[in-house]
Amino acid sequence: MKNIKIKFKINLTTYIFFLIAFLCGYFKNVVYIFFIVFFHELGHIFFIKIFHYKIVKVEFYPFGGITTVDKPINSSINQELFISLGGILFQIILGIFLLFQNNELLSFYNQTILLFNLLPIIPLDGSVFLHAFFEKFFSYQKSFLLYQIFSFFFFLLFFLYNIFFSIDNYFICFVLFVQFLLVQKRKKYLFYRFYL
Amino acid sequence: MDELEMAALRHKKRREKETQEPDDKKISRMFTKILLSIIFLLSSVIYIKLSPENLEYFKQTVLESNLTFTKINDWYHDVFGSILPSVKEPVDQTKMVSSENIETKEPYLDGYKIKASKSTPIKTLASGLFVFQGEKEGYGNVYIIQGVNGIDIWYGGLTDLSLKLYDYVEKDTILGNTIEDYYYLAFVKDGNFITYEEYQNQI
Repeated sequence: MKNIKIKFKINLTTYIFFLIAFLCGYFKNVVYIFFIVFFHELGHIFFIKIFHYKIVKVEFYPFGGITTVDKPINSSINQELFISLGGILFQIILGIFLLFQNNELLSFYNQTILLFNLLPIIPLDGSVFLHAFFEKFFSYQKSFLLYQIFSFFFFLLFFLYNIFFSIDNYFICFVLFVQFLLVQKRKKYLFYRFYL
Repeated sequence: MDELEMAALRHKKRREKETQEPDDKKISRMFTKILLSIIFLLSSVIYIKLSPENLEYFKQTVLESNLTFTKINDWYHDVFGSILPSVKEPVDQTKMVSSENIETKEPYLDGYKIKASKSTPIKTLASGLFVFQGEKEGYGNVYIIQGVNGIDIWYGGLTDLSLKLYDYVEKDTILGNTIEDYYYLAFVKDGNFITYEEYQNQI
């Protein structure tokens, strides 16, 4: 592994979120959340390096992170599935390690972020399972269409759940929606995979 | 990532390389920053050495007083909703439950000394942020909890602390056990000690 330097970026909104949380007195919570997100991204990076792909950047948003990887456009969906499983596997290892410690808050945040990542909404890790499931049974075009429809449907469910229980998750919902729109912008280039 | 995005990224990196800063400008910027920090340090030392009142003011604001975390948290909660997503119901602040024998208080220094049996658990009077743990003159080992209405409550003479510093605590959580058969309470608002009756009126 020659090229080990990875570009870690922290988004501007993360800095603002940290500042407001520190002013409100939530020191430990924010550090724990950032540590768990960092560990999750390390899981992704570890499994990406097994394939010897290049990581373009790792961006940290307030409650999660997005890893952008430079892999060939016609790689199979199983590789993406493997990489997503990496992040979840590292969180499970952390959860098992935390069972023997006495830290209630850290385990609670670990479980919450793990369950949140298993939701089938773009761009979370759960959506990759959804896509892989559809590709086993349908053609590429049909499976991608179903993937988008189901992901948007689950996003609406998540949004309504937040409103019903009045959890103030509007920033997370906004980020998920923006990522969904970016997928719409890029989707016509995905069919280049059939030319290579 | 697809081919189009990779090409755009390469183009952006090539353009960034052309407009990079020359080295001597970077060095002069760093030198300016070092000089400014030296000026700041010298001016604060001059301010402290000027008179003993300045020293007291510096010690009070920098080393002893806390930022009003709970007030900022409350304001943000009213305007935008909570900063961290949580499903818990907020505790009703207006319900005042008197702890076991707070009526047997007697004045002690700036606060009160309350009789209790040896090694009984003592509960918090109000919810807030746990900001200070240490020695205060006359009270011994003191825990300060910053309440949401701007009133800090000092608890003295307790041991076996069950919390960590800068934790948010709810009302009626067990703070610790008394060492002897008494414990101390004091109420502070904006740096001044207030009496228990004034504290009751503020809620």
